Amino acid sequence: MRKVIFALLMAAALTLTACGGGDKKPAAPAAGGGASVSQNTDVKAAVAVDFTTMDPQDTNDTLSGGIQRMVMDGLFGFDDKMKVYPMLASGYKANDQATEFTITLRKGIKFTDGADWNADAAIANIKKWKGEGGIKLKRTSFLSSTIKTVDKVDDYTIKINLTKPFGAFISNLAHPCCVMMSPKVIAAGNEACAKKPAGTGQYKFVEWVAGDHLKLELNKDWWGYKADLAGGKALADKDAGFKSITFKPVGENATRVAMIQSGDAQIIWPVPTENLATLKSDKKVQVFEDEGIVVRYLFMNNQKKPYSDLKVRQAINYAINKEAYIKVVKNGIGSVATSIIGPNVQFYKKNEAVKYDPAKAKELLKEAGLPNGFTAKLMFANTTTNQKQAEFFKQQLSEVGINVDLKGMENAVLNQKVESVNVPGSEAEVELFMIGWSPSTGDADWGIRPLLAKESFPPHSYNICYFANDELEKYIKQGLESADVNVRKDAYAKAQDLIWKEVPMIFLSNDFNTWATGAKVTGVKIYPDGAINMKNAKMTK
Amino acid sequence: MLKYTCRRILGMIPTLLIVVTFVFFFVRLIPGDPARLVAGEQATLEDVENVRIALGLDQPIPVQYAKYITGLVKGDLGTSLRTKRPVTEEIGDRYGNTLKLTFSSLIWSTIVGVALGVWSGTHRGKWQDYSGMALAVSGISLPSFWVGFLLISAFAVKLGWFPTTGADGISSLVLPSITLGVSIAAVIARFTRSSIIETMQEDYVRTARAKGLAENVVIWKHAFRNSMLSVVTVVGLQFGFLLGGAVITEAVFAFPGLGSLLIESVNYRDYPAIQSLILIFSLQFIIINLLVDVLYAVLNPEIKLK
Amino acid sequence: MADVKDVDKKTTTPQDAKTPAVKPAANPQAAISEKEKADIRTPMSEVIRKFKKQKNSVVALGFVGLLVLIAIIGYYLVPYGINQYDYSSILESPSSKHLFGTDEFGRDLFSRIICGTRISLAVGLSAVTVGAVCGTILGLLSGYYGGWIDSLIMRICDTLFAFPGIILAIAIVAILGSGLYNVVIAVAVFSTPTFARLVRSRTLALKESVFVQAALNLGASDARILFKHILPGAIPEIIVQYTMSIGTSILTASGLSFLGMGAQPPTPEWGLLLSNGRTYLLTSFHITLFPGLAIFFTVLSFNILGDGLRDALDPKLTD
Repeated sequence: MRKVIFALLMAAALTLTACGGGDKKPAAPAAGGGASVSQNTDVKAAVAVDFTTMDPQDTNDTLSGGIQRMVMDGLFGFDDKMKVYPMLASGYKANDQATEFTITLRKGIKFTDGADWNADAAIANIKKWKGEGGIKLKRTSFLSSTIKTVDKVDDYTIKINLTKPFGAFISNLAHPCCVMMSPKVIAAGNEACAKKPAGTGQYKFVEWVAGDHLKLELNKDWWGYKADLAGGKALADKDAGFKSITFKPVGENATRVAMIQSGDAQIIWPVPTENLATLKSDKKVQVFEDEGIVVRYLFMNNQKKPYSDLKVRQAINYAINKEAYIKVVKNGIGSVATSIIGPNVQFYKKNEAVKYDPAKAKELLKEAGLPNGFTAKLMFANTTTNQKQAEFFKQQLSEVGINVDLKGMENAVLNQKVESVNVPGSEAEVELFMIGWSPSTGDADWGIRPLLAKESFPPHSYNICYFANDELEKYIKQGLESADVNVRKDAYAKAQDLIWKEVPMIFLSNDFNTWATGAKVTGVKIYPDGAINMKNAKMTK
Repeated sequence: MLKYTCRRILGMIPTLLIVVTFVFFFVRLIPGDPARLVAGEQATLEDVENVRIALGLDQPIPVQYAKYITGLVKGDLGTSLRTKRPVTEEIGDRYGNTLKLTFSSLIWSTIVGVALGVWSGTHRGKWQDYSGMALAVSGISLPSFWVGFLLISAFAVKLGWFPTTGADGISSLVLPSITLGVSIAAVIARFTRSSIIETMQEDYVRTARAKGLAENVVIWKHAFRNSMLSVVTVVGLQFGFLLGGAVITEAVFAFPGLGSLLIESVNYRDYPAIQSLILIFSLQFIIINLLVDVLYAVLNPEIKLK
Repeated sequence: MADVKDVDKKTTTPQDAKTPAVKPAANPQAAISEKEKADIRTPMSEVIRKFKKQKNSVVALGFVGLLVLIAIIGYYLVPYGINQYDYSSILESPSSKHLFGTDEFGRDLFSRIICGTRISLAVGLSAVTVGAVCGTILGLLSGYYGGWIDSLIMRICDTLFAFPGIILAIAIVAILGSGLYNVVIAVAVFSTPTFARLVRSRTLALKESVFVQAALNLGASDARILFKHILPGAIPEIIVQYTMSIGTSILTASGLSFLGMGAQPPTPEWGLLLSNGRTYLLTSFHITLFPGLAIFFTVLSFNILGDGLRDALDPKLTD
């Protein structure tokens, strides 16, 4: 018996001594020095998932893309409001048919590994986009079929010839997958691009230990700090930036929240909406929310009965209370959708959201010949958030007699049954489908074409609504085939009005991005597309 | 002994081959296309096909099988479809964590379980027995994910003593190993109790008492010694299960171990990772069984290894 | 579920068939007086008597009975509907209006948990029943015929047994799809080997017993021997294992629902309720607390009941 007690005490003692593991606090700012306080401070950020790769052409997640944007700049980029502005390019000219784009490049800029920024570097990147060398990456199809050839006009001018008219080309160049990688890294091969990128960006890549952390350090020679190199106006304040940033993937929401509260991390994003209230009441933490470009929809298979009837679609629209959706499903964080695209997307046109009116919904159903409602099938990937949304829709539609059969399943299986099928819409299994879409080029084209164009039926893209409308096709084409901003604006305005009238899907809400920083941190933002924006971030004393 | 061990190890190989082949075809039965999953959101059909070629999934199945098996022989467990890293690296990253969690859970739960079992068993029918067994039966009735949440809520969040997730350092092992260890300790306690009760009724125990030995000595030097075999069996069994990945505990604590790797791999239909993980689990289990058998022979010289 | 398996030592050791303790009547044909009638102890009454002596087992039995009652009539007696939502009372703490509080849709948690009883019991009982039936048949065949049948069945059982139950269940659900029916199948599959092993041991032992040898000599058919002579001898152990397995199967089913592979919303299955609780762990703890308690007490009562049955049925345990 004594032996047992002794053993237990030992075990207890061992366990207790082990729990001394302290939290790591950020390194104290170094005294003095030419750089600002902020630029002498190391900072830690906690993110929700791990990074996937550092090669922009192989990236389809916002997190990795956002970090790549800190290390590499593109010919064009997005400002805080998703407006396109020239970065490594100083300007461009396009022909009327939107098939030739001549781009002038900025001078006096170097990559952090010593390579020069010039036409040769740009062309090396464009060749990579086209998939030359036979390597197919996740984003190869983004521009590879659009770009025909690229010519070097002189050391700082290139001309890109397209295979077909493409008015949204410049917006596409601003897409995170088109940031410029140093030609030395490209020459070193795919592994290097994926693991050790080098760019002209505000930060230098230091290291990435998969699953553990990723570290960047400040590039003090960044051209963006110098007004003369940046075309007249510096992209960030001279004292902005941190000495280094260490990103830690922390999947568990509660942990990220705990980290920002304890000071273990100075920046976290996203903040789960359930915890916003807790953080807002914490004096040591600043909490932010801002409208993003993700819009949430409830898709309907327009080629299947009864959704093929406009009245039924309208009825469902009236039956779903968008404000309640935001309150219940999004914990109050969001805004009602007023178009198929969000207000921050180029060429957005506002429409009036219909008011919640279950009585009208029932009336419309009666007019459509369904006075007793009908049974609908809703398929979704069984994450906790989706389950919540699904239950909400079931509740709402039950009020007007529509009985929703919830079919949650594994993501992989859902993909198999919905995104990968290759049959006409009337034969597809899907009826109702929940989805959020982010037009990552910030352009109306990418918010409409993949969702509603005939070329986008599954398995090609995401027209899971199986919507086929010739008038819409006309507008999409008009917007695509001109580089003239006014022509495009007009085309997309007409497109959005038509879409609003036809209700191929229910437009629910615009997602808000949420993030939190320690009280001493300023200037951290999130781009509307969800990527982190630390251009003007500073640590105050 | 050595000959026996070698023979057993050689016998493993055909079993493992069968397991690997079975799993290889089995996972491809599950609906879901890894290429599409890897290509991700907003992927067009072209993207998906590009990914499929890049991952080698466009090759005919027999070719993929041959590639995998030849790779195995060389010690290459394949390349993860999801992360593009060698599966050996993926598993390597996590194996250490799983081992740490396994050992920490097993050590404390064995000590507590045995102590509780002996205490209950030697006071059979009295209050010690009832309270001990009440604890034990509660231990096996608790849903582990609930226990995990309670612990996180109380100790990690409210009190801030331990981290809620992850695997840095010893402090992040505490809560998960308590969660895991509770049911193991309970099982060991119950087992030890019935074993002790049996051995205490044996003649040699009566003899020992008759010789005038102290009760403590009787219990530990005689009765328990002979119960050890059963305890070793049970502990070995639990060890095997633990190494197979404490899936639910890992999910609750976001603990980067083998269990959560398996779940992630299944979610992504990451065939090479799934195949290799199951292979590793089977291998572990076989080895542990072997160790237990050998340990038997060491503990009880009367047992002859066939 | 527990990530571990509770292995009962007694199921792995073959036991000799025990002759029941019966007071031999001097002349079975003679009339039996009233007093003697009262003194006759049949095996069954012995079991019942020993069982009744264990207070906690009796309480557990009562609780199980209560659970069954709730499962049957619970739906009709709860204060709120299980899908009755109310967006103005979201995430409320327990109060007099809502005994266990409300969830993220304003639904009454108490009503949902009560109605979840039927689901958990149904899943637990059906899964174990299927596993027990299959396992028993396999065990009988294995132990009786021996030879290659035995090797084959035991090899399969060993493989199944080697896999951590949860991994096996996940694999099965991955193929068949999520949902409670498939959870039942998955749990049944991984309970089968336990029953098979157990019944096989008993069969091996009983095969050599007097009754069976006699029946063989009389030319009885295999089926008759298996079902009339061997199976009854294994029944006590099967019952004990059955009761213990219900606990494990409820834990596994709720574990699978927790992982998103079992019950789908809006089913008020306890594991599913708990997985919701994770989102609100810091803000609305009641959502985590009560479903967990429900699972705990249900599994606990089945386990105590199982223990009580085992002790009552064990001939070696005398008063």
